[in-house]
Amino acid sequence: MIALSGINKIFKRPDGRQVFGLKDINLEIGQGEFAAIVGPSGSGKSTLMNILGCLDKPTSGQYKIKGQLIGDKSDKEISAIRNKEISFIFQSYNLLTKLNAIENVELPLVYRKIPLNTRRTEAYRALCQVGLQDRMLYKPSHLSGGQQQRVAIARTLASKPSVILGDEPTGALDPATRNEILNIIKDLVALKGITVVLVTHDMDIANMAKRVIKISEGLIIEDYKN
Amino acid sequence: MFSLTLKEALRSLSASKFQTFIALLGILVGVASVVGMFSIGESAKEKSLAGLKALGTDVITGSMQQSNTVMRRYLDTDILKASDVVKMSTDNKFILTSAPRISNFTTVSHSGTVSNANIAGITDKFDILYKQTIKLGRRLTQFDMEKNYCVLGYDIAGKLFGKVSDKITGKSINIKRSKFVVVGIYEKNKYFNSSDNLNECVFIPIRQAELLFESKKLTNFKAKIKEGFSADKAKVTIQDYFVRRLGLSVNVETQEMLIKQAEEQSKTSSNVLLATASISLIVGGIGIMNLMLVSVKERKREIGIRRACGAERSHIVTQFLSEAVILSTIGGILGIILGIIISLAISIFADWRPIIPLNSIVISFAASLLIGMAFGYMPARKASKIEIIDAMKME
Ligand SMILES: Nc1ncnc2c1ncn2[C@@H]1O[C@H](COP(=O)(O)OP(=O)(O)OP(=O)(O)O)[C@@H](O)[C@H]1O
Ligand SMILES: [Mg+2]
Repeated sequence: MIALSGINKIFKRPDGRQVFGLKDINLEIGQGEFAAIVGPSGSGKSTLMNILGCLDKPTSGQYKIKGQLIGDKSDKEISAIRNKEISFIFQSYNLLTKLNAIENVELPLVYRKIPLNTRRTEAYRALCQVGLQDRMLYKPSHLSGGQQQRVAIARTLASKPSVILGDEPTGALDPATRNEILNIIKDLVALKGITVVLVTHDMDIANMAKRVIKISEGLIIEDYKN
Repeated sequence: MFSLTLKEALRSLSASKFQTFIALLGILVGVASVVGMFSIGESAKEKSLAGLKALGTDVITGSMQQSNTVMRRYLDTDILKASDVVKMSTDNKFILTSAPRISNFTTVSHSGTVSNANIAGITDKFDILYKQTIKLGRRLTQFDMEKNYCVLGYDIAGKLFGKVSDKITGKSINIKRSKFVVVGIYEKNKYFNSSDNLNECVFIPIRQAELLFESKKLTNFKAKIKEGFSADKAKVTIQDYFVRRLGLSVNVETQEMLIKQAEEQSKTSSNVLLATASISLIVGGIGIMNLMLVSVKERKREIGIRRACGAERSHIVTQFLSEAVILSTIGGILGIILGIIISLAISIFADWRPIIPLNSIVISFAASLLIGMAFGYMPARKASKIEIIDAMKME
């Protein structure tokens, strides 16, 4: 499903110094796998996730999704992959503040040019799955953190991706809401054939995962199955 | 897709109404002035042309060439006098009648009301050649030439006496230090001509004007030519006549030439107006560009989220470009409305028929659309070039 080989990411500091975000990452994640990425702060977890999600490009190395080499693709093609194959769940929810809940859920379907009625129906169904159907006309500013994250997860559900990437999806939540989201994530992982990669500091999530990948200073230092 | 873009564009524009409105002002003013200026130009042209046409094409107008008149004002031999014109019209058989005229500005007063007015020294032929009709009282006849009588233009009568009524005739007014008895008031001349507004004139016998201004210098004359006689030939013949007989170079123009001149003039003035309006349209475009640049900066995060959800760079361009175009189009439509209101208001004021040329509306609408595209493109492109990672970092 996902294959990284020899991935390096070098950042340029404002003072001109170069720092390694990632060093020679080789990693394969198969279809239907559920992997957790763990590691200390600043170790390169988010950097890796951004490359997996095609939000950022590696400095060198090859990245393949479903056997297709990403480096060669045009903006149009990569956008289509972000649109159809991958869905991101962020720590900071990343909802559009001007749109209400259901319009936010619809967003990936809009760029898929799905007609209004169809996408409304799909978005509504997804909101039902996260239990927010009665909040569908609320703007994100009128929703709690947990509810906002549920909207973000509904957005992922509605887009029916092959890969779900989550960068500390429970990181900003208090313990009670964290448990709510955790249960929803369990449902996500149970979806047939879906590949899930989550960055987490949360040992409960890491223990749920079938595979744990430990990163430190831009290197994979451990990769084991639970 | 398009209706969604439209809806979202409207939504994000209405989010900052005040700033949006300020950015719109440039376009609004630009378009309003295009529409307004076109309309005023057309109406004014129609009115002045109608005035010229109403006099008929069988009329020629003569005046001394400017260079001569200024220098030799007090030399009686070198100026064109009323008596020369009278002689000219008897010497040339194709001239039916002629109306010499002396015009000078001075103050007139009536029991404390003082006004500046154009004093026109005329003969009894004036009414025929200028198509003036009497509203109240009577006109000046050949028997009035030695008398201190006057006829008032409609507007000046109103100014001096408060309102036009039959009580005015028989009253006297002061012109410089002489008393003149009002014998009549002309009907309002509906042809507007800013340089020669007959409604603002006080008409006195030409003999009296010569005395009043201590000069026999004519301002101009009009002459009617025989039916079937060519106006162009009359022009040349009369010019030759004055050179031969008096050694004066008199400039004679046919009605047709005057009409052409008026058309030329309105064309150049509307070109100047158009240039001015284009500048304010460009200023308006810059206003929109500025608003869009600020908007792109503020909405970096939104751009990042959209891109993460699968928006292509071209979608982002479309989104911001349509916002700019919608913005400038709203400005354009408001400007058209304002321009029409201004045109109508001015037409009431200037007493002419309001003409709003359709092409001025089409042109200014198209211009505002184009300006939105031209000035919106740079910010839109800038928005699409933002890297997703940088955009998402914005908090
Ligand atoms: N745009 C950037 N420019 C320069 N350095 C960067 C940039 N982005 C990340 N880094 C650096 O790369 C390293 C890895 O960052 P990354 O965000 O991937 O860490 P992380 O493992 O996600 O940490 P955390 O658990 O705190 O989120 C850090 O040292 C960070 O300072
Ligand atoms: Mg991180």
